[in-house]
Amino acid sequence: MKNRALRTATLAVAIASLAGTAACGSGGSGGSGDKAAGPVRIEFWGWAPGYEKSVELFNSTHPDVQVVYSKISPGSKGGYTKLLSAVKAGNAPCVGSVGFETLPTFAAAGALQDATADAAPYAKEYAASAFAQSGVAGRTYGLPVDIAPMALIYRKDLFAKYGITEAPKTWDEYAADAAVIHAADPNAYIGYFGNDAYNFAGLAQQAGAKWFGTGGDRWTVSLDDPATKKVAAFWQGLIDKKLVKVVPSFDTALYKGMGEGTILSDVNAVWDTPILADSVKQTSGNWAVAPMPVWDAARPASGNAGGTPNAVLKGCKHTKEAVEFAHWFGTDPASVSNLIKETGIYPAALSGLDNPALAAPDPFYGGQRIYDVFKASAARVDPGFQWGPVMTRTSAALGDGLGKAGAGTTTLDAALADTQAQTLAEMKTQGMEVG
Amino acid sequence: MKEATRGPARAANPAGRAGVLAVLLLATVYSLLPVWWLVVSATKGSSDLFSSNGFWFAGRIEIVQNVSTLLGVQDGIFGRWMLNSLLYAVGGALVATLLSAMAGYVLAKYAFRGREAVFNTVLGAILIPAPLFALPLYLMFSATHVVNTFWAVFVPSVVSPFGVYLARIYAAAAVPDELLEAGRIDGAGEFRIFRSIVLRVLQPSLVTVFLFQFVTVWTNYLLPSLMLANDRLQPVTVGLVAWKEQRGQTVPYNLVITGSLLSVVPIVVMFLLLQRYWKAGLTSGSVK
Repeated sequence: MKNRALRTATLAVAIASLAGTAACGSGGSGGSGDKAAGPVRIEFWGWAPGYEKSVELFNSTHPDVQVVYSKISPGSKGGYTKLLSAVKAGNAPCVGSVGFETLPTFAAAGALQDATADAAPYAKEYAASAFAQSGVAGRTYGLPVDIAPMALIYRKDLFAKYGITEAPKTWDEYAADAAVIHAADPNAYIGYFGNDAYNFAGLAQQAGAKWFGTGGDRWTVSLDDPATKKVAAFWQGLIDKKLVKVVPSFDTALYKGMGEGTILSDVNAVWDTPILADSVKQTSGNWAVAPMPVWDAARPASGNAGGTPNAVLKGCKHTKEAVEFAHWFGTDPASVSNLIKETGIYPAALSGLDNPALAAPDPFYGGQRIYDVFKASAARVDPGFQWGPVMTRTSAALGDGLGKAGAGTTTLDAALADTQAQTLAEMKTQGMEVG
Repeated sequence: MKEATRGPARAANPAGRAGVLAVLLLATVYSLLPVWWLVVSATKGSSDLFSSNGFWFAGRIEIVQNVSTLLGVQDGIFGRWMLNSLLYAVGGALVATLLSAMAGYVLAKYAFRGREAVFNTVLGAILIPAPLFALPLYLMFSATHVVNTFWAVFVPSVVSPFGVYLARIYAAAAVPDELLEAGRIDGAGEFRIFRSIVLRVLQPSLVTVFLFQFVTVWTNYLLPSLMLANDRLQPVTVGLVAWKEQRGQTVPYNLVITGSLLSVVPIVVMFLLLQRYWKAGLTSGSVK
C-alpha cells in the first residue's frame, strides 16, 4: 500500500510538471499578432510609484509607439520571480525594471535581450557607472533610469556641539571624530553599523573592491578581496571599540536614535535623504550632507547603493523601440522631472543632474542644495564595479553576516569568507563556470 | 476506566500546574506582543511613530485620522484591495469547503476502483508545499490566457487537499452507513442525501475546512503577486508589501501599519464568528 501511495504521488507530480512544460512550449506563440499598420505596442512592467505618469507622457508624445504599463510587486518581493516566470512562459513584457544588482542574474538565466547595438549611441548621455551596469560582459541589455551615489548625512548642530566644525573628509578623520563624540557623551555615536548588504557593497565599491568579474564564459568571485577586507577591518575596529551603534538598517531603533540625537550620521545613498526627512521630522533643519569620507584624499572615490535600469527582456519583438522608450524614459526632461517628484529618483542621465527640481534648497538639510554633493559623488563612482549572477544569495549571506558581526557572534572577515563560500556554492549548484 | 481516574489526579499537582501556566503565559506574551505593537503603532502619527516608545501610546491618538487618510490615499486603492481579498478568501473558501465535503464524503462512503489512488494523490498534494505549485500554475494559466485575471487567483483558491483529507476522515467516522441506508429506503436520491443529511452531519468539520482555507487564501502572497500585473486586482497582502517596500516615500509608514492592522481584522472577525463551531469540530473529530 505504501509503495502504491508513493507511486501515485510521484505520478501526479510528473503529470503536473509535464503540463507545465507543455504550457511553456505553447505559450511562446501567444505573443505574436497585430503587426500590420497601427502603432507598435510595447509592454512594460515595473513597480516604482510615478512610473505610470511617465509612460502616459511618452504615449501622448509618441503616436507610433504605445507603451502599456503594468504595476507588479517590487522586485525582491516577487517581482523578479514574476518577470523570470513570464520569460519562461513566453508572455514577458518587452521592458522590465531590473535593478543593477539583479541584471547579471537575469543575464545568467537567459532572460535578457541583447540591445548592445541599439543602446550604444546613447552611452555618453549617462553616468559612466550606470551605463556600464546596464549590461554584463560587454553586452548592454537596457538603459538606466536612476543611480544612488552615496554621501555622509550628518547632524551639523550636534557635530558642532562636540567641537567638530567640519565633516570628516577621510575615514581616519571619521574614526577620530567617532572617538571624540563618544568620549564627550557615552550615549552618543557618530554613526551606526547596520545590516544592509547593499550599503556595505557601496562602501566596498568606494574602496576599489571588485567583487565579480567575467572572462569568456567564466565568472570570477572575490567578495573578500583586499579592498573589501580594508573596509571590513575599519568597521570591525569601530564595532570592537564600541564607537558606532549597532542597529539594523531602516529599523525603528535607528530613527529613534537619530531623532533623539544619539546617532549623529548615516553614510547612505541619495534616496535615503527623503526617508530620513520623513522619519525624523522633529530634527528638521539640523542635518547636512557632506561628501562620503574617502580612503585617500589625493584620489577621492565614492560609492553607489542602488539604481534601476529598464531592461529589454528576451522575446521582445521590438528591441529598437524598446530601447528608444527606455532612453526617453530616463532622459526626457518632462519624464525626469516627474520621476524626481513622484518616484524620488536621482537621475542616471547626465542632463537630468541639471534638472531644476534638483537645484532647490532643502529646508530639512538647513537650506543646503544637497544634490550638488550627490552630483560630485556620482562622478567619482568606479564604473568598473560589477555585480554577480546570484545576488539574492550573496546579499542574504552578507546581510546575515553583517548582523552577526555587529552582534559580536562572528567577525566581518569571517562573514566575508562565508559570503564568498555561499556564493560559490550557489553558482556551482546552478552550473555556472567559476575560475 | 483506570485512565479516567488517573488523568485529573496528575493535573492537581500544584508545582506542575504552575509550570504549565508559566509556559502558557510566556507563549501568550510571545504571540500577543507583536499584535500589541501593531495596535499601538497604528494609533500614532508619522512624527510620533519613531520618537515614542513602541509598546505604549504616544500623547496623541490618531487612529481615526490614520484610517481616513489610508482609505483616501491613491484614489482609495486600499479599500479595493480589502474587497479583493474578501472576494478571493470568502469565495474561494466557500467553494473549497463544498468541493472538499463532496470529495471527502465520496471517498469515505462509496467503494469504487481507484479510490485509494485518488485519496493518496490528495495526500501527496498536502505534502508538497503550495509555493511549489505557483510556477507550474503560472505557466499553465499563461498558456490558457488566464493570467492577470480574477480567475488566476480564484481558481487555485478553491482547491484544498487538506480539506478533502479532513472531510474524508470525518465523514468516515461521523456519518453512519445506517443513516444513508435509511435515506435510500425513504426514496431520497444520492445528491439529496448528501445535501440534506451528510452536509449537516459534517458541519463542524466543514467550519474547520472553511477557516483554514480562508486564512490560507487571505495570507497568500506568492500566487497573486505572480499571477497579477494589475494593481486593482491585487489582494491586500501584495498591496501592503508594495507600499512597505517604498520605505515611506509615497505612503508613510504609519499608514502602512494602520493598513496592516485593518488587514488582520477580517481574520479575527471570522474566528470569533465561527469559533463555537470550530472548537466543536476539532474535539469531536479527535474523539472519534
